[in-house]
Amino acid sequence: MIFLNVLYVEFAKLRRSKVTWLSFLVYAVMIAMAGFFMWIIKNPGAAESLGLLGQKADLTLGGKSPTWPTFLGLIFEMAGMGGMIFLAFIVAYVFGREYVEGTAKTMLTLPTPRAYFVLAKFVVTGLWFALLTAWLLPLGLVAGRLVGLSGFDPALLRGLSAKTLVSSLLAFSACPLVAWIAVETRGYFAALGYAIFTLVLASVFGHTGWGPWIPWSIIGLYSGMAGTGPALVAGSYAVLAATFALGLGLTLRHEVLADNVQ
Amino acid sequence: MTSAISAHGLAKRFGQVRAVRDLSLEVRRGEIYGFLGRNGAGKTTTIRMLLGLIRPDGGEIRLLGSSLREDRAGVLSRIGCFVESAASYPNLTVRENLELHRRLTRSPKASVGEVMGLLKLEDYADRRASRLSLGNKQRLSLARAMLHKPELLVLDEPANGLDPAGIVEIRGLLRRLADIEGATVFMSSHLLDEVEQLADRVGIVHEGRLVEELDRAQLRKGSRVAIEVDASDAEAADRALEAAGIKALRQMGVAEDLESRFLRLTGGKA
Repeated sequence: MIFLNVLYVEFAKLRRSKVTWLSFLVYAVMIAMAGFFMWIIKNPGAAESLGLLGQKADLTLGGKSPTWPTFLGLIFEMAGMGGMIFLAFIVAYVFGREYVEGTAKTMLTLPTPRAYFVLAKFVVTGLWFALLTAWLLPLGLVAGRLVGLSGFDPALLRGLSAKTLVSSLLAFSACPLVAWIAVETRGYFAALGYAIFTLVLASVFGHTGWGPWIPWSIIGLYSGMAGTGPALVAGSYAVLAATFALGLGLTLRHEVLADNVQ
Repeated sequence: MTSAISAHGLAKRFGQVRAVRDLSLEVRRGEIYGFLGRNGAGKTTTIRMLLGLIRPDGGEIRLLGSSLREDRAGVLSRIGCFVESAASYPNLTVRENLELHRRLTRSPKASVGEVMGLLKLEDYADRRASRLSLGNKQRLSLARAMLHKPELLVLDEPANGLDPAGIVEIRGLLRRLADIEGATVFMSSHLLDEVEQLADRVGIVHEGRLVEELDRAQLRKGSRVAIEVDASDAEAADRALEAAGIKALRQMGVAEDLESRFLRLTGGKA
């Protein structure tokens, strides 16, 4: 009952936040851009008249033809590595805002187990990210239909949806470390800097033999955004599970035990 | 009956800085205790230790007879507080901020309306906290601290940001809470006049130590009397004072007010 109250409170805080709704808008813009690139490639005349933008679109799609499989593959990549970065923004916001807005000291003096706040924040973060990821599907279908792509295959859509779900779970497993940095540094910026740094790590290690053992490279390799690298092994998933446990443990430790000198 | 706050030998160090050293406090139930100190004297660190936001390096704390370590939720459910500055969720309205606090303290639904009335926040009930004036933000923080009718209120600079009328109003409110509801109020402040008018007892903290405690009678009387001796021979006057056997030519007693006392104890200029 107490945890449900905490959960309700965390949802209420997000519901009235502009950031929540802005994130859905950003995802819509991302899909619109992807659809726009598809449209340009599908209409070479228009691409020529737009000059550089046509070349950029061609580079983004790696010269592939503008079909449903290409478009859905692009969305899948966006949900993977793109999702990991976006999720880091969400986590940094949810955990960092209590310190930025000065409400952490109030939250931590409530007659409620502090761990409940940490767990409730992860629950709302996970749900927010799940809705955002799910939001990609109808947006993608509308954008693809508007562009008039060919080669739609329901089986491909089902397969990519399942893979997107897995890549989202993989991305989520790395996010507690972002939460820990946000609460430890009492704000957003260090957590966001760390998230961008992990993107660099993912890219660097994704092409080496270390890729399947570096948490952020694992997500990149799974989604295909880190390029063609070594195959993931069972140990890769164990690394992500350990990353999740470490981040959760550190965040809980800070919120429950550490001095709050905000 | 146990004390509302009982702290013994509190100590806290941040790196090389000893913020609080061997500080002991005993706040009786139902009294208003003013906790005075200059900036950096250790007031907020002490309050944070009392509320469990900071772990003391040494010492023991009992609030309302219990320790936070033994029964954190039980103790905190009987305490209302705000620390250092007014803080609310800026995207939520006054009512929503209080409603969330009500849920987390499991208070009756009517308590939100009651506390808004008490703090004169009804006109701003549907205004987002980010759009409130500093004074009303302070009122909102006070409302949140009082919402669940706590037995002990721990308030860090409660008059900050309030205009003179607001200060008088909050003073009356805290007095009523102590006199009628029997609540204990522990408040830090740097507004000496405010504390002098409101507090039943005052503790002065300086460089992390509690340097003096005064009760209401001492506050009113002025416990230290400065004696000015007008003598024709200063050396003789000294001798006379030492021996206390010579009648002074003229004596004028001046009661030392709280401001003078505070500045003397904390190294400021009177």
